[in-house]
Amino acid sequence: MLNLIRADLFKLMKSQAVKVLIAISAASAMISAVMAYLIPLGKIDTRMTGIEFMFSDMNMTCILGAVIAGMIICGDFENKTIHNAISSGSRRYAIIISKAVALAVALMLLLLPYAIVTAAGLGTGDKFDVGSVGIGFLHVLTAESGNVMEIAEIGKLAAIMLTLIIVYIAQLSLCVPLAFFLKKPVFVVAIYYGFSILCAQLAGGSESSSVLSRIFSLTPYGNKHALMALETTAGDMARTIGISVIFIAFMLAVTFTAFRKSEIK
Amino acid sequence: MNSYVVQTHHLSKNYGDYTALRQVSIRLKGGHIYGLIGQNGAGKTTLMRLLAGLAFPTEGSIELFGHSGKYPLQEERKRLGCMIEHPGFVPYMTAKQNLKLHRMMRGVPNEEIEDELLELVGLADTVRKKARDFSLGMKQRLGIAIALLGSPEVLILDEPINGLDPLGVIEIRNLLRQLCEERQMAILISSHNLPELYQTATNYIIIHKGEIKQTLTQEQLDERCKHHILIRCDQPEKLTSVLETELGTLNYKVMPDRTVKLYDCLDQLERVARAIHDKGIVVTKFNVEGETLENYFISCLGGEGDA
Repeated sequence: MLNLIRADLFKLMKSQAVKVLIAISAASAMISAVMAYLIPLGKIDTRMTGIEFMFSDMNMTCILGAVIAGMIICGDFENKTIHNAISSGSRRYAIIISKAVALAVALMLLLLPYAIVTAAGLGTGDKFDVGSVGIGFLHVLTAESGNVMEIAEIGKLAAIMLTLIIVYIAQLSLCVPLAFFLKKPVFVVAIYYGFSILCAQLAGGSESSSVLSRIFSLTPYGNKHALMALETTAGDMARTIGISVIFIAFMLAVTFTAFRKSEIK
Repeated sequence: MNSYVVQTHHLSKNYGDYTALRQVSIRLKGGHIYGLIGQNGAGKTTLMRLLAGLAFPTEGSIELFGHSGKYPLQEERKRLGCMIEHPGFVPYMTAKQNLKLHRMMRGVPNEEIEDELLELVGLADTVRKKARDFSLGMKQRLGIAIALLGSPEVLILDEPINGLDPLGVIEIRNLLRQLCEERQMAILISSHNLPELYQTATNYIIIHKGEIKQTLTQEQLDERCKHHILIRCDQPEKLTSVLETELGTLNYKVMPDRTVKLYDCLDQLERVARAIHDKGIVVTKFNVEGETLENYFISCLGGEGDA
């Protein structure tokens, strides 16, 4: 399995497309931070927050993350890397795990610009605000910018950002079974993006429904998991990480159940 | 443990109502090149996919190096090298990077094998060229190089000479022979290019509509395709009598179309012709012929050729 993971990471590092996606993510992170800085100064109309959301980590991760998942998994069906792995005796569960690890690493690289921009923004001591569209890293920036922080709080913010990355990886882990079943990147991106919009709508309305709220709180798609700041307790963070890890494991188990007996065309 | 590296026992594969393979039993030994011959849709690729673990049999079993069962087979597949349908590679990587990727996947520590294989398949001078820019022949060569990583003991190649230029065909033929002889590798190779396959294979497996029609060695094929005098006449029964009494041979065969194939007296055409003529038999065809693998294959399928 380690051989497969090493090989997948090697392939990832050689991919020009992945580098382009990370560059897009970096540019989007910069744009969203600049907008978040200009909005409280009154230099940008607050109605521009819709555009701000376009460049947010939540939105970009949904799109770029699904594209990367499609490239890493569906691409390997197209170029027969998965065929070669199976015919040379690799176990199917090892193939699934290696793809999941490669996807997780790619997502970390994709989210790194947002983590850096958020840390840099908080370090300036200036006020950043994106209003109600702030989720994930932008929420951290909105909630904690303009405050002087102690060392312990900096450590906690690092832990929050790490937790957010895990939440995003858990959300995107849905793309693993999708990619293994559908084998076409375009379907993976379309379905995942549609699903994420649906989840956002339902999660928004879940406040009025205790059942819906409970369901969402047990998945990484719940708003609560993406709205973390210094006020979030260590227990809440641990719970979020636990839910995310269980969700990832569930997605991989679903993938294995279907893939272990599937014929590779 | 027997000496067969690959065995299938009554292997069948159905896709819904369609039977792609029916009760296929084959045995492959090291040091032989097996030419898998069949029309499109005959089941060649299905058989190869089952051996490679890309599909699962509906019935029957596979034995690799004397082992069968799901996990032992997965383990033994590490000793296989495959190129099925079209070669698989990452298009944005160079040939060497592709070999490195597959070497890492297989856990082969020897980095030098990358250059050795590139040299072996004639891709050593493609240093910076991405695989997506390769010609069809170069892609085939890369596919073969990938299949050869990890020094497999069994090589499964589906149409490996597709797209190769004449020189490339000869190079690949020589390479396969060399691998077979020096490493005692068992090679299962499918091709529609039967004249080429005839020059490469040591054994033949003829498959038609999912069933094995015949398995034979090169010697058996040569024997069956051997040269003969083809005689067509108005009285075949009388002709056979003449062959036996006048020429003293039983080495002939009456074909379903009532022509007679005489495998003796190939260097005594005049004597044969005179003997037939003297008995008042009217001959309408008198040719020295020899079958090709192509004709033999067609005859096996019940076509116009005779076998």
